[in-house]
Amino acid sequence: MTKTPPPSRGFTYAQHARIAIELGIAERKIFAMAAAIYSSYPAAVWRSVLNKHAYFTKHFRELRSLLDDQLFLEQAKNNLSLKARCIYYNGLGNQVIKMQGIDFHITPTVSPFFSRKKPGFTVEQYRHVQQQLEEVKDLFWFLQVALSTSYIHKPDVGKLLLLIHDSLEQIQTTLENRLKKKHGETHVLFTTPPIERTFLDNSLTDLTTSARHIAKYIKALHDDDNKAICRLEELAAKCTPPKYVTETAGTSKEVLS
Amino acid sequence: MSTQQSAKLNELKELTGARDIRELCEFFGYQDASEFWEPIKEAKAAVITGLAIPTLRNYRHLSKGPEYIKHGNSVLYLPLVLHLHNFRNLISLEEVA
Repeated sequence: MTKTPPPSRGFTYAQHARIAIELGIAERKIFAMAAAIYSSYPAAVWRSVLNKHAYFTKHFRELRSLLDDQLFLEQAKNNLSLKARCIYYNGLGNQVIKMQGIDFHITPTVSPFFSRKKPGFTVEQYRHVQQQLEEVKDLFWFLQVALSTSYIHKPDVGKLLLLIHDSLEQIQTTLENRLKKKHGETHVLFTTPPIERTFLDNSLTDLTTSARHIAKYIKALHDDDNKAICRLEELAAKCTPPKYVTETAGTSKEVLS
Repeated sequence: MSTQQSAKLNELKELTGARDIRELCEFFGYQDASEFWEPIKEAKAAVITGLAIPTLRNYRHLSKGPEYIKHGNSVLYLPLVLHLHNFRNLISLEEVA
């Protein structure tokens, strides 16, 4: 039996809307992080982080407009009312983001820019920011998997996602280095909550776990060679294989690879 | 608000990734947008830009750096202009590559 890639059905309208909401929340998290760093650190640090933030924002906007274009394209194909859908789509996104009530300011001060001594983050604040960054990175990994299983491969989207991921990694590394320098090595370790994203249909839910494994897999490649081989073997054993769909004579059935 | 002022605010909004003025104020920790236009002295400007006061003086002498207001002997800066200067001078990672 030959393995074939899954059919490119595209996202449904609800999936598009849900992804838009998730992207909106991710954007707000990164925005809040940039604001906190700008007000809490001296110029040498915020310049370094905001360079990467600008890079992230640029590619993030491109990705979002690509997804929006795709949605409009599908609506046109289905002869739906573009205007009505668009209003609902944006309205829903804003409403949910508002309801989430994310705490944007990590260091609330009255006039942070007029203080000569900017203290930087505490260990707790570092952990909070790192956790937010991990969540956003997870979202992009998940989106990459969801896009590649739902659409015909588009190199532009894949490249954008990689660039976004790269800029987030760089922000994280800068912050980690800062944390090590200020608070020592012992505080670097932190835990991330398990991912709970079921905003696409059920057949894609298990890909969330796979996305997380892929992320670890890539990370392992950057470690020492010897360690990497052991870790890759461990991860490969744990990894849940994704489901593929094969179509035979008009009927489709699910096959575990 | 003049056209030039709103253009500067819009540019800052673009650069920071804020969606509206409220978010922009949130980013900079200001209560409202009028704080962007409250003139500040050299010492505070040095904190915002992360530059030393002599550097700002040198920039004024060389007619470069952020725009400033001169009233007699006193030199004043606008926070909006300083923030804009900070964000305009970020080096893109693509340029470095």
